[in-house]
Amino acid sequence: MENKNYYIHPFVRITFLLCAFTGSILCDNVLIVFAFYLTIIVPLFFLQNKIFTHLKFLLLGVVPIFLSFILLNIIVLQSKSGGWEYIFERVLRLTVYASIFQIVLTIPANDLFNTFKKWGLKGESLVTVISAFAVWSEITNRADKIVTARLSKGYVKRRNIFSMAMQFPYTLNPLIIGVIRTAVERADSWHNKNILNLIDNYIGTENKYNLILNTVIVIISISYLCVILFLVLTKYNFAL
Amino acid sequence: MNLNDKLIFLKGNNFSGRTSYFLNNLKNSNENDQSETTLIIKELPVNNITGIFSSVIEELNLHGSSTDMVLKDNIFEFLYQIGFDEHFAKNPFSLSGGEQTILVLVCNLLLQPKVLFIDTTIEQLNETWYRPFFDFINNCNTVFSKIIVADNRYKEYGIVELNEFEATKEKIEYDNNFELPKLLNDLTKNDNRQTISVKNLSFGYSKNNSIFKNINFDFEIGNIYHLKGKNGAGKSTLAKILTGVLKVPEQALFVNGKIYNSFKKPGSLCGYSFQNPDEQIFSETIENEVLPLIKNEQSEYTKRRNLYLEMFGLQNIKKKHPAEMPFVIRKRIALASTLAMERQWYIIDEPTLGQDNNFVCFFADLLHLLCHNGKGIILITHCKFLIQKLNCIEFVLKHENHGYK
Repeated sequence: MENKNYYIHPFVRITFLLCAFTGSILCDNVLIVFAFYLTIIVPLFFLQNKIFTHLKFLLLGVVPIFLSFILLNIIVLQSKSGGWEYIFERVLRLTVYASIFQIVLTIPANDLFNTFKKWGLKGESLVTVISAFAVWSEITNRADKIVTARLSKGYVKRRNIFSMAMQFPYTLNPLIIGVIRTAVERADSWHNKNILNLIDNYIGTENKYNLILNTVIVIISISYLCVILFLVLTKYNFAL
Repeated sequence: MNLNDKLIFLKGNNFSGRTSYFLNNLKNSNENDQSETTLIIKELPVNNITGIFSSVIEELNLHGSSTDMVLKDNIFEFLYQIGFDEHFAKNPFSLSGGEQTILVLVCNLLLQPKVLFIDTTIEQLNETWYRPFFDFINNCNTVFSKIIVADNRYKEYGIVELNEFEATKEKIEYDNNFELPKLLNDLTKNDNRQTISVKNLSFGYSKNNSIFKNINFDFEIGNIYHLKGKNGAGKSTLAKILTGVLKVPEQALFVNGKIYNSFKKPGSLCGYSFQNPDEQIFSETIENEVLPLIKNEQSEYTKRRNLYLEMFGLQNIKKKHPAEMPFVIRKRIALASTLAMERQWYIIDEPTLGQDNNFVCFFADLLHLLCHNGKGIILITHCKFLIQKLNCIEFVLKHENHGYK
């Protein structure tokens, strides 16, 4: 559950994204980037109560990339295009860039409308973006019901990881048909309701943002960018 | 109850042409600005939810963003009266069918359409909401435009003085005559009578959220149980436990006095027919859906498939894809496939959704015969007509106090 005390203001999100991303790209010292990740990004995930989502991303996103790098660079190319140091740097940078986007786009459900509207989206693009966020819960809900139906029909004789994984192809047919049917009917309903007009008139829910937290994030983001710019412009060689 | 011409109920059985008659007339009379004046709520309420917001209150506020303030206040007052406000913070997709229906209905009313056409969706409303909804429309001071309802159940709720309109019959594409074949009696006979007993069952999805606490009951075979209870009372949870989808502690579920682990053999004791047929249709042809085609089929198996196809009026369309069929037929396919599985027990959720009285009578006879032949039925339904036709034992689920009525 999202903690309402730690909601990040839409403009703070954008500031953080611009400063943190630009700073991390400009910084040629991977240790500073890593320190930023550990001291700022990870605590932000904790504050947003999204640390498990982030760990899932590390496990399913970063670890496979890391293993692919090892396979390609160490085993196939025999370190000709870069050794372990090169791999660690690339993977670390990718992790930090992706984590910055993850923290910025991990928006609480009831703050989605406000955030995207404040980011300047309107009309069709606003509806599309918010729907893209909402659609996942609908798909998982539907997939869960389909698996339940297969279990209750006795199509899964023995329940184990392998047999449950084998259900995946069978869920696709009803899932896709259901999604297409819903999409067609919903498009019709949106058109009849003139949803774009409704969205334009909708004010949204008023959320309160923690002033201290948001100010701290802005100060840290700008400071980080300034420090990196200083290091780059003065060609300061930072070493442990 | 006096209803004026703002509310019209369309008479007619399934495939009598009432919906197409209305839509064709609407198209002809209002061709130019149909989209701005008419709203149509189709059978499945979930498809009428915008899917943009993750809370009920936001969905309501979006639809009410340009609504007349008096009407908006009236509608919210109505929602508070029926106790719907407890769902405001929930995700619309997590609501039950009846709750989604009321949400979709009021959202459409908030848009103040000139014509609102409600196509059988309203059958999912329970008795505590159905009549109050129409009373609200009738008594609301703000003038609504025309509301046209195609519903098979309205007379069950005491709506008698009304403006009925009978559509002219068109060519009926699908078989809508039902009878119980004699062969059914032989094919469904069951001497292995399995009584389900639940002893001290406690269940919750998390430590802090207990749905059942030490409940005890027996379901005797040969009976039809009408499972009742508010949303969140645990109807679906109980159905999932009995079918083996959810795991419960050992020594909680017994069959004929012996411990039964349904979780290890999902779907072997009970067949479960869902409210939304689209969630349980997997095959590419109707015949394969009713009973999967297998190699070296025995004649009994083929006979059973043909019997259920014939009985549910699906024989002539058996080679077609279920997804191409209208909702009424998809619902019948789902029911036929559940019953054709030949289980000891059947849990059937809203079997009469979208079905006319012709089908309900047939279905009641079928359930009677199955029970007579040694099956057990657990029914979740709001269809009073079906309940009247069956000799049901009511089983009411409440959060803390469960028991027979």
